[in-house]
Amino acid sequence: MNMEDNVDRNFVLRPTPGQKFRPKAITGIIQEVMNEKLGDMIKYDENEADQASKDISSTIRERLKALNLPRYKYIVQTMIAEQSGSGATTAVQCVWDEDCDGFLSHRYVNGSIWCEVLVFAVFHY
Amino acid sequence: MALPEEDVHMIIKQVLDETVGANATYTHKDSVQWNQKAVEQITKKLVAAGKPYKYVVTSSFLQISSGSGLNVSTISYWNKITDSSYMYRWEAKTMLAIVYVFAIAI
Repeated sequence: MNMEDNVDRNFVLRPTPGQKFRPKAITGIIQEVMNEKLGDMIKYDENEADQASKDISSTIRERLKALNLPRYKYIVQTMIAEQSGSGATTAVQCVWDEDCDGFLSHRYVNGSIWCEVLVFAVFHY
Repeated sequence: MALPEEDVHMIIKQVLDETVGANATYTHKDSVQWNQKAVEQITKKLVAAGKPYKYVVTSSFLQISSGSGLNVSTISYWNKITDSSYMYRWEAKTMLAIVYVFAIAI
């Protein structure tokens, strides 16, 4: 499924209930990907973190694409930082259609690193 | 057309200079407030530009302590001709702000 199908579904304004992005249903996927990719990261290493964050983002994107929700666009942001007692906050604000767009965040923490993933799904009319 | 990159950078810089200021010291309580205020202002200014886009603004404030590492990556699945992303990095003495803006055409 891709964005090119707008030729025959030209005036779609809402996803059908079965094709709607539901953040809760995706949590499991994200958790799984993070556990898999970060499980053996015991120490923060610059190159490893760089590789892992790219890996996580792209794996999650592929998993989202595999859900086959038509006309959804996705943004995945992954942040990996060293656990050193320094503070961090993240704030998010979106201007969009609350009805069909969705957002989800998930955090993974172990003794030496923390990792936060933000996922946004935006419906394209 | 999407907003030019310099404009978005300018908006972010202005807002952060105003809400936080270059000499601010990081405390957790303040940073949460600053952060909320900052994203709010940034989105407001983006919307005020009157372009037909949906916006996603994410902002992370981090305390700078001796040599702690950080890595951020974003990946998106969208129409790269119409949609765009912007990243801006802002620094004060004891903190670092990383702001991402995503503009998605309606």
